[in-house]
Amino acid sequence: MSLRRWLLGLLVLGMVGFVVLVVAAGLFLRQKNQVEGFGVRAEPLAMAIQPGGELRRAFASAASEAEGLGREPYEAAAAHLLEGFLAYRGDHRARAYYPGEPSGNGREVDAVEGFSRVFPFAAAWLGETNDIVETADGPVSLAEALRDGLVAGTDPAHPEYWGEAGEFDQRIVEASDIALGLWLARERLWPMLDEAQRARVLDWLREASRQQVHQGVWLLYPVLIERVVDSFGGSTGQSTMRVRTAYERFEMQYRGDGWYADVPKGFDYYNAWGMHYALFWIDQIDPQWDRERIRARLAEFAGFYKHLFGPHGVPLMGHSLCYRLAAPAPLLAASLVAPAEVSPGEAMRALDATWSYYVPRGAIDQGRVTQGVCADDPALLDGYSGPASCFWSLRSLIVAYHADRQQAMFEVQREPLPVERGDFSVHAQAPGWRVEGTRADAHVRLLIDANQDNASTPIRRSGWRESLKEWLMQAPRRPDNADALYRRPVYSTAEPLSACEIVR
Amino acid sequence: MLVDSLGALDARSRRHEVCVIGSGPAGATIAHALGQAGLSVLLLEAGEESWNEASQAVYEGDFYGGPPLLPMSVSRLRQFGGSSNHWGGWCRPLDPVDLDNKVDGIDAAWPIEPAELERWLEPALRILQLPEFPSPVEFGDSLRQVPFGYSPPVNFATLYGEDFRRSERVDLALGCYVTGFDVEAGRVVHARVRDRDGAERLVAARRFVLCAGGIENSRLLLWANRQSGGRLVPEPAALGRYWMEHPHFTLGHILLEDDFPFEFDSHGAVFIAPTAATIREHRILNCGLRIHPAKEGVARELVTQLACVAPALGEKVFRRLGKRLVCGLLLRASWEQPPRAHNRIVLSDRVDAFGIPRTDLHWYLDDFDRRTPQVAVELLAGELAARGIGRIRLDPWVEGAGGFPPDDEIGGNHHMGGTRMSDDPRRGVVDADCRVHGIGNLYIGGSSVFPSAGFANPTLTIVQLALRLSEHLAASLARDGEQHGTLRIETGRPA
Repeated sequence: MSLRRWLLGLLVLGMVGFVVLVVAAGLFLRQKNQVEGFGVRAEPLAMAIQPGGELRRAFASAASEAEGLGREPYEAAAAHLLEGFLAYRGDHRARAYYPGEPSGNGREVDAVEGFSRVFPFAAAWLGETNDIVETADGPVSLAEALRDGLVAGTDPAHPEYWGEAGEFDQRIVEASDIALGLWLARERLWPMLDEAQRARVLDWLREASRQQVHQGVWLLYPVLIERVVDSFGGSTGQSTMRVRTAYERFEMQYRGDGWYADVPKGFDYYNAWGMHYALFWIDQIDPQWDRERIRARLAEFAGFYKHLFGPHGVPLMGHSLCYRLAAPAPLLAASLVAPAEVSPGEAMRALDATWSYYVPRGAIDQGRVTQGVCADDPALLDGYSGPASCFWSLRSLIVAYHADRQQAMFEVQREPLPVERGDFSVHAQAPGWRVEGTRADAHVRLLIDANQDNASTPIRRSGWRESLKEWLMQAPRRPDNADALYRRPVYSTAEPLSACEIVR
Repeated sequence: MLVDSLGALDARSRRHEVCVIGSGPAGATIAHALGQAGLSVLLLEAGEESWNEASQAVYEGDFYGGPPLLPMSVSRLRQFGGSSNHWGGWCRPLDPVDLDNKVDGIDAAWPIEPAELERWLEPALRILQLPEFPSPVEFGDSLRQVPFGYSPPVNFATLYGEDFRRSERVDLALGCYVTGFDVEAGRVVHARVRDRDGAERLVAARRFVLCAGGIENSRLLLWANRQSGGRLVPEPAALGRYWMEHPHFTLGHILLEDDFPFEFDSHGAVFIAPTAATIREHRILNCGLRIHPAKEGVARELVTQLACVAPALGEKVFRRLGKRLVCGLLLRASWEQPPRAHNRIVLSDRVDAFGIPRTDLHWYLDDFDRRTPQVAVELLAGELAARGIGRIRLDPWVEGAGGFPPDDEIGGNHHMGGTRMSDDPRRGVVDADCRVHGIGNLYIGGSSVFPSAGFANPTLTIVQLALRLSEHLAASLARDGEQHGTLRIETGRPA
């Protein structure tokens, strides 16, 4: 055998060995890092009773109507989403397996979110009289479905038991939604539970409320949960003191002007749909908790924040952008507790403008809230977000339904937003945000003081690298867009982070 | 003298000028100093002469937060001499900068000048049987090598027990659990005491000094204040709050050449701390970095993982440079925690064997607690690199990967704050004289009055403050026309 053939053989052997090594390493990494159920995806379903196309048209056709959308488009959205909830829930009780990109928490946690994140919305929709949701299989009692899920999810003997929350556990977050939903529908759901079921529900919530949590808005989840438990007579002096401490720790993040820093990221829309949203509910559940401060700060925040809204959506930036429909939540909350700062007509106009901008562009489809700013977009999806995470988008509608119990919000005369009234430039010292609006084109710009010397980094799209990493790791690997999301000097509705075309 | 029970005292109709509650380093020092000054003192200790399980069980409480500190029934002792029965003897005075605000927004200032502590340093050193502290040695522009002192360690029950037994001025009563105070017209008229026979007795005195410890002082005041309808601590906003520990964690490993300029002390350690100017410039709190040899197994791991991947080769390389590697040094730190109102002691729903609510301790570390050691260790790494004498491998948590390691030492069992000292009653429980705001004759001794913690182990400062308070009590009783002699500090044991 010639030397050349020897060398060739050696080379081939080496290459084969290298490939085997890479494959073995890949398999090892897959095995080591695999997120539970990562490869299993639910099939998207078309909604038969309230199709997505009709829903988009309902919002698009009314987009420019200054008198407002009225109630019907929102009812159509609720019908579409609740039909979807029951469809993706299938034969399960306490879980719903939505289609979409999974989170890093695993398929079962994602499925718990599928129940928990719809729960407060469904509870708010129930109100005093709603119940039946039309589905392709016939009418379903939503109250009974929610009751069944609540009972199964909190019963350690049930196969769909949600499990005890541990420290820093995602279930603490979900428990806060369960608690809120329970409180919102207390007059409907609580009487449907027997004593043992009630005790188990409170036990599960109590357990979640006593766990250690991350800093930031997480500190408010145990407070909200414990206050709901207290409203059902289930708290103790110890548990109240514990969450009071959590609340005081959260207070350290207050920076003035109604703004809380979102540790460790800084300032973004989480202040609206995270912090003030949770604080609003804590105040609604327990008016004795810290009413004066919560309301004063909400009013101060909303007075500035409302300038961000216009008919072209909001100049989004920061993380969790798929909560975009929730952006008006603090304005609706403020309209209830500080109407001098934000009138109900102004808040509802912000809701109309936001929903009629994003929904026709794909924010709601296939019975779910999609995972992007417009339609699904993995480039703008955080690693912690799963198929149902983006249902927090519904927070604005939850507050609207809640406010609607006290005054007919959907029928209220809409009032123009700041950008619809004239040109403006306003500044908030604490976050270092300047908001400018031009009436002529109705566009809004957010200028961030600290970023004025920065280049405008483009969004990095999700590509083959992410796909390869996901295949190798069997875990979500999304592009790091921190620079584009936080460090641009300007975020503008004229040049949004993600181009949004109306979906036909 | 040692009294069998308060009932026996009643029979003698003895009227004490000062009632000191707690016989740990603070209480024993005050009782002894006041006795030496000719004042009659009743020293009440809830525990007995030696440890017993039933007494210690009173200290059980619940901890909320994290990472978890040692259980409260383990980290302190309920017996004569208090926690000096199991302390390590490590001492260091606070730095002058520790008494000042170092970082905007962190309320750490003491309402007294450093000189007021400094005045009591020498007698405190004698009590703790410590030599004088040498001055820190500069290490670069931003750091200094700071000395620690090591008390034998002094056990205050041993130190003063015999004196108390023989004393005609100090009555020591063991097994006497103070459970409340009766307040009239802004003064404490009685301490309510559960005697070891189970009877509740009222103890009268002109001054009361609560020295029950860095947790018990808050617990007792919270409970007694509740019982008194808020009359004991009329301004309770800060009561139980601003509780502090010294976070104790391993930061990583350090590799030094043999020509490093440090001298290891008698405990085989070197302590490095930022200078006052560095603390202010970098907006951090005080921090003690401790370099000491790691155990053999850790050294071997270091040899494997750090630059000593091949020890022989590594040493050969360094020999060629005329240097020798010193492997296996551990870098640890204890540092000053920002006083936070939410770190606090509250009364539990659970009660002890006497029906008194147990302690719920809420204690959390936050981002600032990571920042202080991070900056300090970066400065040290920079100085070592600039001098070319070593390098540091940091544990991942220091650089922000993950939380504080829950399996580390975590705290130093240094319980501070809860009844902090401040001129402002909204921010403190006691004034600069350690007198409870709004109450004419109730004082607090011990580390619970610390408004901030520096990084120094607290016992030396506790004794300094105890002596200072003793002087104040003697002077204030003199103003009231009480007879007494000059305050003298004697230890019975030469330094």
